[in-house]
Amino acid sequence: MGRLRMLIDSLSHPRVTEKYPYEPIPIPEDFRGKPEIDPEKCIGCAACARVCPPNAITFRDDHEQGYRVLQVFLGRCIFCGRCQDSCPVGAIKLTKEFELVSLSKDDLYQVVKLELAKCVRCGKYTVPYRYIKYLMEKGPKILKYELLLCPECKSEVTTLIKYHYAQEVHE
Amino acid sequence: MNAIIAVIVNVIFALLYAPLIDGVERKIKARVQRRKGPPIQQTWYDILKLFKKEEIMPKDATKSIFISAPFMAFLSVLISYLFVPTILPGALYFYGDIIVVVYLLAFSSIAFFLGAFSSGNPYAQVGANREMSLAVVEEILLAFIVGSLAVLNRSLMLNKMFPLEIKVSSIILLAFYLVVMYIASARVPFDIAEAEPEIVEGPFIEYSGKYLAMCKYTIFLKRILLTSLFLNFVLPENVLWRTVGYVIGVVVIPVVLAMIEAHMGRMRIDQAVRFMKRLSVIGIFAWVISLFGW
Amino acid sequence: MQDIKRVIEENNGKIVVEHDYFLLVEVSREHVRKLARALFEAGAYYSTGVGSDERPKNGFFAMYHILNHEESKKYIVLKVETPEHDLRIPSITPEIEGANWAEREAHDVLGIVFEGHPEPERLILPDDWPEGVYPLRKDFKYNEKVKPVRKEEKFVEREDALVLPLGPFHPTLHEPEYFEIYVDGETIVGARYKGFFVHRGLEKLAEGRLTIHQIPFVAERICGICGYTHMICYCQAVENAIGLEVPERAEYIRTLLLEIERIHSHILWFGVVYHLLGFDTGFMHAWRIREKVMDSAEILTGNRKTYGMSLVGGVRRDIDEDKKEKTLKALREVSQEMKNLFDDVLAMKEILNRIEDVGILPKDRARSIGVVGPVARGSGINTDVRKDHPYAAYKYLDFKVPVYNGCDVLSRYLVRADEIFESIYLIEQVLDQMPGGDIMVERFEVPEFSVGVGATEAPRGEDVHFVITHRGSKVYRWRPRAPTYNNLPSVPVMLEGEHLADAPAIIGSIDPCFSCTDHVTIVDDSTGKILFRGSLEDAIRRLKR
Repeated sequence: MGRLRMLIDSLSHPRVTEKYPYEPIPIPEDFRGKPEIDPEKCIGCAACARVCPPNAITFRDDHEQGYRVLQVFLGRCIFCGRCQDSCPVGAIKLTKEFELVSLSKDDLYQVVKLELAKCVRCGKYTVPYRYIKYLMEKGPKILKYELLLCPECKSEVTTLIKYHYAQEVHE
Repeated sequence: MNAIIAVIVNVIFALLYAPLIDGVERKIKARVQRRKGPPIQQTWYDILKLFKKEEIMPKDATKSIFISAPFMAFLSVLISYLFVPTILPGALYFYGDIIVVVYLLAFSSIAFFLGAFSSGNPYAQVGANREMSLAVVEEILLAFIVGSLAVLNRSLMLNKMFPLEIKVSSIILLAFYLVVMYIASARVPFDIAEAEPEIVEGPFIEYSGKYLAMCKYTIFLKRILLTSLFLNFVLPENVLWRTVGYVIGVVVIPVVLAMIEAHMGRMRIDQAVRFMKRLSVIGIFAWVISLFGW
Repeated sequence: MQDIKRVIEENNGKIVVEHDYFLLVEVSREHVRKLARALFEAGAYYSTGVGSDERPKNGFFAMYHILNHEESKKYIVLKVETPEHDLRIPSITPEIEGANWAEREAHDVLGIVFEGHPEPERLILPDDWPEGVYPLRKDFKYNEKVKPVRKEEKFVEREDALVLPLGPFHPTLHEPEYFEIYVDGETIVGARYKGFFVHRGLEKLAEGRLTIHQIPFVAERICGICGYTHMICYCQAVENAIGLEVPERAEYIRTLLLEIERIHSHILWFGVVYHLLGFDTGFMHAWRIREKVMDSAEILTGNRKTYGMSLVGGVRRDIDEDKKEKTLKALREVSQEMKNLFDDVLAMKEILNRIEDVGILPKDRARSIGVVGPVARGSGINTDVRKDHPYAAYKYLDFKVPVYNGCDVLSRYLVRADEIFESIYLIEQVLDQMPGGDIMVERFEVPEFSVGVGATEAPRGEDVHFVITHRGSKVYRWRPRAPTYNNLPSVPVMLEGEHLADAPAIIGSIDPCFSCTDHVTIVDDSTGKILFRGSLEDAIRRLKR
């Protein structure tokens, strides 16, 4: 008689098929959808690129033109939200958007282009301006001049300072 | 002349209606599964689409048999409609036509069997074996029905049997016929020969395009044929009432069967054969009491 | 506990690391066979084996045999070392059947020769992979490409039986796997399995270029159904290796999600089995009910699947009262509806006839093959990682482990049915008892060459991950072993002598997850020869002859 009960039970309840493409479906609060990067806020620190498990976020420095290009490719994204967790300024956020189908692959790219700062000593491009600005304001309390130097100059200058300091102490 | 017009109308009705009622069945099954389901024309769309598609010929098939098998099956069922009235009463009757109908139905099974064996696919062979074991037992069961009917009506002509006289044996016989009809129309739990998750559509595995469409169409036609035969046994002779009754019956019976089918699991071939053997006891019983004229 | 240590010491094993969870035992090549035998007789079964190239460290290759000893609540890791110039280790397969695949895999990926192995044939590498190239050696780059070689395929003709290829594409198998089934009429007289068609090389990828925090996201993609259990298993392996304590609240959240995953995986399985038995309405009902579980997963984690929720050291998202309530409400409905469905289905005689006394796996065979999870519990073996090696919050919770003695498909069915209700009971306890506090330990040091074993009870059985850590937040060796890897070798045993019509239900009864395993060939051939797979076409050609 199990069959009959099953039949009656089914007929006495409504259908469960959703009308989805014609009607929106409810999305939970914490839904993790398409990541969106805010080019105004982004400081180009590339923390997101470093934590991204599938390498959906990558960055490339153009030392000729002086740009850092940060690229989010949705085709690789697994919507884990590690980028959102690691971003110091909240520039990248996962939205609730999930309908990402597109006829063109180009629609799946988001690109942020940031100008690089020049090393004040040798003139080589280092890191984005915004990143330096951010570190000046919020970064750890270190000697601020270091931020304006490229890694090579930084180590040279540090050695020089240490040398002078040692001499002073010696004197 | 009237008979010929009736036959033409009946055949056209069957051809149009058989896939449509399958669409209704799918809708019903969807409803008992709490789904929405496809529109009722879906089966028609499927068949039309298959007719448009290209056919792929298996490399190892015996081509002539492989191609002709679906047509043989289709035609044998279609020819049965000459003897079994559907929406209009009247058909070509001649002496012993019930035996012809039974044999035509068996022939459609044999045609599938031949087609499957000529395809060279091992799954088709397993499916064909199953189809045959079922067909053999089905034949035995049908033989009991034919035998009892012949005894009851003292005739082998179908028009003498429409409608059946109300007797104890004829009621048992009709109930028995319903079960055999269910088995012969290859519904779960007796769709063993096609069993999609086990042997991937069995006999039809290598068919594609219009050949596959023919195979499917044959099954739908066979179902309506068996249903019509049953309705002819029970409906009154009065044309108006018969037509009304027929229209109701030909919708209600498949719908009920679909609901039953939706709540069944598939049997294994040995279990099914055992079940049918047990069923034959009822057949013998009906035959015996019809001999006594009850 | 003392007993097992005595067994190890008596057989010349040296315990190097004694962890709450596992014992790392070093043993020489001469003594490994005897020790393995002694451990098997003491009640341990073969869980998995891991080969490792440790030349950068000490110039040796190592084979780790991991045995599960439930009685002492410990994993026993036997480490056998062999120098590069003499890559030979005695095989333990003659002693324990279950070591078969693991040793063959180690040979495939590292080139270690297992002396006395009964079937020293290729397992996971494709047939056209060149000889003598071992992908998991450290001098093989993770992005290196090799040139495929043409290989003659060998066939074994069977005069007595029809060869029926089940797969690589078949409606029963939802993933590309290949079973060659020998049938005589409708009776199966033998079966052969070939798999690993979609080996994804995750281990090499992880060792080559991922950090410890990126691997969880790869680990959870090992499986599309039970991904979270792999993630937790990996995290636990690393946590065990570096000795990290996870906050209690995180443990509870992990338990909650693991159980949610178990429920949806089991209901999915019921749907599949009903479909295989031709009962499509049951399939639709089961999956409709499952949708409620998926919705609660979505509420709890933000995604339909429980993806992206954990990291080494804890979990990433907290849950609040509102989510708790919604989950409980959904689960109560699921409980009621599943109960009705089970009652109704078990009253259907034709379904019961199809699964009762079908696909018999005797208890002793089950033990020597080392089957896990519901397959083992359906054969009367009381094993459950949650009880035997408590992890996450299971140590604080009360639950029963259903065991059935039928050894058939029905027993496996009933085990899973009971587990759904146990899981719901567990979730109720978790939500009730969950303590407050942190959910993540952010900072920790990763030591070099520290060995860790992690295990979880996945819906399909014991899931084991083995990790050796490396400097710079990397892993030196990571080896996930999905439960199906242990369960699949039992399928040919179950198939033998059964009806062909039952084959899908029997294969389905172990709840195979091929992409998890993808690693695999079992040969169960009366001639004892190993075959190479033939394509569908060739099988047909052979028939025609």
